[in-house]
Amino acid sequence: MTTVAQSQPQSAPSPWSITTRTIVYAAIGAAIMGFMNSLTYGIGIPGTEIQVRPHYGILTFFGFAFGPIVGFITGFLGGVIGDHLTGYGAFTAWHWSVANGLVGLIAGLFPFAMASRIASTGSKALVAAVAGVVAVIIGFLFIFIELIIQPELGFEYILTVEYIPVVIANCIAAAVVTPILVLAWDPISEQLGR
Amino acid sequence: MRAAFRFLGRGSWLARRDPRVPLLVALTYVTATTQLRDIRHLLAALVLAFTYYAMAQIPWRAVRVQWTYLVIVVAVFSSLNAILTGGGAGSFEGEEAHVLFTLPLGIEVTAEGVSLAATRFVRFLGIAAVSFPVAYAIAPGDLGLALRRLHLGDRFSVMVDLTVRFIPTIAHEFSETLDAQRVRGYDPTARTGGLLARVRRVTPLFVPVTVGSLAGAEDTIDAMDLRGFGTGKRVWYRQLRMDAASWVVVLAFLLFLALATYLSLTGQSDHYLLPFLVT
Amino acid sequence: MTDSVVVVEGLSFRYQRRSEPALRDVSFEVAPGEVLLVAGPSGCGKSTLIRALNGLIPHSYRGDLVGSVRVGGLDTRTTPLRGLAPVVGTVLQDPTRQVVASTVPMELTFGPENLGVEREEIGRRLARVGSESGLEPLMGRTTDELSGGESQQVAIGGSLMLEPRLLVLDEPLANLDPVAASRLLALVRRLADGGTAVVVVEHRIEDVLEARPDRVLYLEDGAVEFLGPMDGFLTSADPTAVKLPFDAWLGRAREGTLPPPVPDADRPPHARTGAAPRLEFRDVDAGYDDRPVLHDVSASLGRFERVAVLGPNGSGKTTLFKAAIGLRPLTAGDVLVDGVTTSGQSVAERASIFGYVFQNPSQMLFAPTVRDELLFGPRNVGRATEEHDQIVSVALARVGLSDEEDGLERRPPRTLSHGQQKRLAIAVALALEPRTLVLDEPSAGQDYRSATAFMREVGRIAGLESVYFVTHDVDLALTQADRIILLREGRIAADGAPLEVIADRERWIACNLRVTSLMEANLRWGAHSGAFLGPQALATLAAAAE
Ligand SMILES: Nc1ncnc2c1ncn2[C@@H]1O[C@H](COP(=O)(O)OP(=O)(O)OP(=O)(O)O)[C@@H](O)[C@H]1O
Ligand SMILES: Nc1ncnc2c1ncn2[C@@H]1O[C@H](COP(=O)(O)OP(=O)(O)OP(=O)(O)O)[C@@H](O)[C@H]1O
Ligand SMILES: [Mg+2]
Ligand SMILES: [Mg+2]
Repeated sequence: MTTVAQSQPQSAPSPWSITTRTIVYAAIGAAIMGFMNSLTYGIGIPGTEIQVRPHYGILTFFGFAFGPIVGFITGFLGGVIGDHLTGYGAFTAWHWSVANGLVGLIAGLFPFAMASRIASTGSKALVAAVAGVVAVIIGFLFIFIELIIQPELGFEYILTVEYIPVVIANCIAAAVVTPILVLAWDPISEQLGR
Repeated sequence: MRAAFRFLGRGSWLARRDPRVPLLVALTYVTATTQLRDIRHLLAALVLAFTYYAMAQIPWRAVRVQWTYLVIVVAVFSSLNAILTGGGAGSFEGEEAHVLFTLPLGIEVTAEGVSLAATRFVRFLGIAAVSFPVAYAIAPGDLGLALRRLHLGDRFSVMVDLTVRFIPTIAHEFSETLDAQRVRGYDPTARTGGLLARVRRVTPLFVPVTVGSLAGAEDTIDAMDLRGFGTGKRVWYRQLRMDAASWVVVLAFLLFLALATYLSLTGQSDHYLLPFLVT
Repeated sequence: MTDSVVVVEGLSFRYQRRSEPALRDVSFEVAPGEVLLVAGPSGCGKSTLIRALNGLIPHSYRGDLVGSVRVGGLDTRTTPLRGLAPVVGTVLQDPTRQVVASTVPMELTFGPENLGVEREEIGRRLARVGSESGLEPLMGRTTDELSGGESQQVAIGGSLMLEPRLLVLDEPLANLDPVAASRLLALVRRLADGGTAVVVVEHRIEDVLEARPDRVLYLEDGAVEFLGPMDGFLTSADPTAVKLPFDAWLGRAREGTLPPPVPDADRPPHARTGAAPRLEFRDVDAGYDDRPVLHDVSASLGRFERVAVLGPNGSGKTTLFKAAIGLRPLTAGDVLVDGVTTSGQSVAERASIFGYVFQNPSQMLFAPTVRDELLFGPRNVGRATEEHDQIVSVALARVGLSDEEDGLERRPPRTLSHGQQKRLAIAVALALEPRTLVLDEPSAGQDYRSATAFMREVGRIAGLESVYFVTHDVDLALTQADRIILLREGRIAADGAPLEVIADRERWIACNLRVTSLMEANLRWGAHSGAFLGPQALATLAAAAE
């Protein structure tokens, strides 16, 4: 009369599968990033004009913890909405939003690439920091598309005035904040156990 | 909280049009103006943009702060750009740049630089003007539907709606968490400590908001699954209808796009040196 | 009974990461038109049972499932969620998280849209559900402007749009004021009369009686402890575990089966009066940017008093205390603490006097371990490292967490159970050694037994002079406080001892408050006691008086 059933575990998660969970997490990520992007705050790096905005670490966390799709949407939609809420125009700086999206996406590729090698939560945090930094460095390369859409700026300008300061600031944010969030979320996701 | 999608243009002429209109207009306008380089063309575009902006009847008082902030940011950005690039080497035809005056550190401010700055300023102002209605003249909830009707996927469109729905919640969570931590002596604006310590100081704010939202998402996920989300073909109950007036607006902007593309391809919209700067 | 909507046979379930099952050998049926009440203490498996009925178990939660669940003739194990969705409608414990759309009509149509119901049919259902559930006034609203009660209504409407044969509701009354609650219960009754089977989870039995549940399923530790008609339940249930109407207590007292009263179980020790006030509001106005909330509030709260603040949703209860500790600026008037004006004082300065505990502990828990969480405040105010061990052990001991388990100090705070998190939140406030504790909704999300025990424990914390709390739980306020302040639309509507305040019944009802059976009984027998008594003491007294 009674039967024991192991309720079917979801098939091995592919980084590209889209479930309700993916959609809800991406929407939360985008809402947080959009809201934070719309605030004017920043921590100045002494001796420079560079402002660190720590919430970029939330972006790399969403990518790292929930995969490339969630990461991309968090960055891209978060960028669009942030620009939108400040009144800057949702698509005025669309290429910056795409760059943000790529940062999240790249951060999301790491866990899949090295899942088998991440053992403890501690080493996971370290990998998360590295993933965040690498994602920022690669992702923001996308803004060199300005060479095509705004050629008058010139390579040197894009490199020195845009790319390098942004990458420095966001690398710091990613390196510090991503592991903190990974460490905080890990035990809770364990407990949800879904 | 400022960070909500407020329907400020409620009842306006534009808000009564199809919600796809603001999206299409913003898209065409951005595409068109990025091709234009001549400030006279851009000024004409600006007139078009503000005529359109007026149709959304967004109360000035409600967006005054945003506009002020925007104008300052855009002005600073454009001039910085233009000055640092020295008038955009190669943007202008012809000989030597016309130096107007020299700033400390030997930075030369040229007529070309100023022209370029003015050009970019005008371009951004126009883009902002067509972007505001996307934020304020689309009824809440119509955004997802409009995207769906623009042939984006069901799930993506629902996700955009969901994001819009979450923003006020997130804003509220941030302010509650900030209050809760201030009671414990937390001061997020403290300027003490090194750079890394200051970055790390966001932890008491970021962790509860992020982790709390994610843990709470379990219920949202269940609520969606229980109502059959994502399991098959979806119907959208509300329908959109492009009325004649909507078409007129969209066509006007498409025409503008065509014109801009033509001018750009035939090289008729190159940078224009403001004549009154060169005496 | 083959025509039952629900047939559960030998159901056991263990969550994947748990060693103990959450449900053990549960069997029952629900017929069309029947209302089944599921009750039981926190953690007994009520929500798990709901998940088993709507198919989230086994489709979305992993674990071991034994036995079978058939809903509307469909086996939940073999029918996908899409197939179950039109049969079972679910309203989750927290309605604000269940709402996924940004406007009310979109929220209502969400389900049928997903299932591909034809547009004309959706339109017909929208009109019908709108009028039957009283949602018409909300149709033009966006979902973020809805109050907790309104969200609840919309969530139910969203389930009804699928025209389910079974409706399951998980603690639907938690966020509702009495007016909204009555409306909801009437709706539940109407649906049942129309043939829908309804399963309601609720541990406040008294409040749910209005829906006239046909039967009760009482769970304890995952197993069925009682299954049968309401009457039988009222005479057999343990009145200290679930909230029963006063008559049930009285019946026990008459039979002489009431457990012997625990010394001061119901009531905290009496307040010392006569001392200078701790907190004084003088003609205070306060609020948010574009919305004034408090108007001309004057009150003084004693140094050794227990004060409860009651009032409808949005009346400004939270704002009152936020203004007191400086989280909201005053737009007029003054707040005095121990006789000294607070203007110019920082929030942190006032934290040494007031320990403020927010409604939702998870809004502040962030540290990697319980220990770090407790030390955050002391570190911010610059307490020496040598004192840290002392601070942690004292704070945990004062809330009774230290003897709970070994190594609790090193656990991440958010992995604690809900009740432990509540107590940790208090320990966090105590770590700054305040003299007065301010609690916003201490009973939210706790069952009756835990909530009462919790407030009693708070009353006994050593070194605390006073406790001020905001609550929606009328009986908790009346039994645990020396003084009641009623707020209504940002103004003080009443201020006095419990018996005084409830004497004006019209004012009480005008503040959207429930008239409970315990209140009625106190009004009736109050003359004998001179103070507002808890059910146990009052039942003993009343039985003796007869
Ligand atoms: N997702 C989950 N994963 C693992 N264990 C769980 C999960 N949800 C609940 N549990 C455990 O199952 C048991 C029953 O929990 P359940 O939520 O069903 O109780 P409840 O009666 O609804 O309690 P409450 O009144 O607090 O809502 C508890 O021990 C709980 O810790
Ligand atoms: N952060 C905020 N920004 C703007 N308005 C707010 C904010 N918080 C609360 N309000 C408004 O202030 C009023 C009073 O809110 P408050 O939280 O003090 O009520 P309350 O009596 O505690 O209600 P509840 O019983 O729901 O907790 C409400 O109308 C509410 O909508
Ligand atoms: Mg539950
Ligand atoms: Mg409140």
